[in-house]
Amino acid sequence: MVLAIVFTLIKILIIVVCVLTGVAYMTYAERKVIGHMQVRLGPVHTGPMGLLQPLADGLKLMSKEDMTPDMVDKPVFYVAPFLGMVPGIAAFAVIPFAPNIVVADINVGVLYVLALSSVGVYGIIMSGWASNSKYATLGSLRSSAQIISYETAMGLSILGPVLLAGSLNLKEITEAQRGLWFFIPQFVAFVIYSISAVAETNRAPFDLPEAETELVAGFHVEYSGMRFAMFFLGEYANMYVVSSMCAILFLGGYTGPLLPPLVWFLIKMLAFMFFFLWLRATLPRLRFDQLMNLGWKVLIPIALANLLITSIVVYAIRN
Amino acid sequence: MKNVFETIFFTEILQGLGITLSHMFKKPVTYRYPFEATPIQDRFRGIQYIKTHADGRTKCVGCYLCQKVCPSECIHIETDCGPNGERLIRKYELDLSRCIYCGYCEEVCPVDAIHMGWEWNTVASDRSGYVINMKTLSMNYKDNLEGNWKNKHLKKKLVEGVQQ
Repeated sequence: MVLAIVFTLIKILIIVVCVLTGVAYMTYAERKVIGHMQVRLGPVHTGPMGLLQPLADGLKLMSKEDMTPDMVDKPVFYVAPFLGMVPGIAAFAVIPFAPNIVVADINVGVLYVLALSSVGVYGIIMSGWASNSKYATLGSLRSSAQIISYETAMGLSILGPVLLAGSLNLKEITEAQRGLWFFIPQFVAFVIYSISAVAETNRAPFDLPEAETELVAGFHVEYSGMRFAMFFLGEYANMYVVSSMCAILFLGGYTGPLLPPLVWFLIKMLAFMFFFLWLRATLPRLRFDQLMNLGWKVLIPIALANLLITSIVVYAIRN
Repeated sequence: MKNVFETIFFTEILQGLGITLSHMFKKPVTYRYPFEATPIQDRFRGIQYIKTHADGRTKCVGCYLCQKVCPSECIHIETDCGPNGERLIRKYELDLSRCIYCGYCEEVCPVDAIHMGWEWNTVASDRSGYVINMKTLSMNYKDNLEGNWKNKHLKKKLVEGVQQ
């Protein structure tokens, strides 16, 4: 019993450390990839090829002054960054990286991840509210509106693979894709998922909550040092979560020939992460009404139609 | 019809993604300046040099034309009479902090003495470091001939034989 708990704790520790390292190096990868896409170099001076840049950034953020403006709602202001970061990391508990590398193999994994990604909104709303600043409030309002509307499309698109697999357990969904990865029969859902995943994580071209040109930085305007870094970590951890979900639901998770399962999983996840960066280097930001129109008038109806057709087909085949 | 197709399959977004992806494999255009020199065009006007004869005497005859033509008044010349009635240059000073690198002095020089070089690194720790005299200008000529430049791109220019 005790041994099992200790073993689980070690597993959690390893995964958290890996996620945080991954997050740190994602910032480096982002600067490098976008730099090269703009025919620049990206960071080069810190360490060989700038590889120590995340370390330098981390040190910088930690040594910065922890500012608390006078007029903020202090308890909420302090709690919000944690609420922004924790759900992103907690979601990794149910992700099966390989057949036996999963912290909690629960039977409602998909639901758990969706629920946690909704909790993440509270961090953003609370930070915007507590900051007592118009930019922060506008950013958080935009963000909550955006995340709530795109969560619907995302949930509906996830239902396609769930119907095909007949389970909410992420491992069983992965195993159901041994023969055929779900992004072929569920291509429409895959596209909808990709779009709403980008919107869900507030990334470009849907980065309205932190639109630099309009809102300075959005909901984290008033934060500095490590508190700001926590929002940053939360955003990147969320990117990892939606990428992992994409890999599991549509790209067959850890299944694949020759290479070990973990490597396959990482390849698929990082490919989707690259897609995030690629989009950011390519597309300009949408206007807010365009964003809402796309979510409510395009993605949700298509996702519903896809769900209807999938259900009919699955029903016909099962009977 | 074409428009509908483009909307449904968002072909234009895919096109944009293709462009960014192809740019990713291009060679970056960045020059890491303090560690890597930037290229200079042939007609670049940098710090001046004054040509010398083979025995090391300056070609400058002290005619004051460059001082006269200089729009920023950065050249100061003082001449004197030598024992055999020839003109001696007592002082030839060029204030690089005033110079606008217009190249008029090069154009006006009747004996082909003063020229615009390619070196551009004028940084000095105090203002007096910006005033250069005939000795430095002649040294600059030597450096230009021998290619003792801080900017390695200039070495290539020497090989190409752009020197007059």
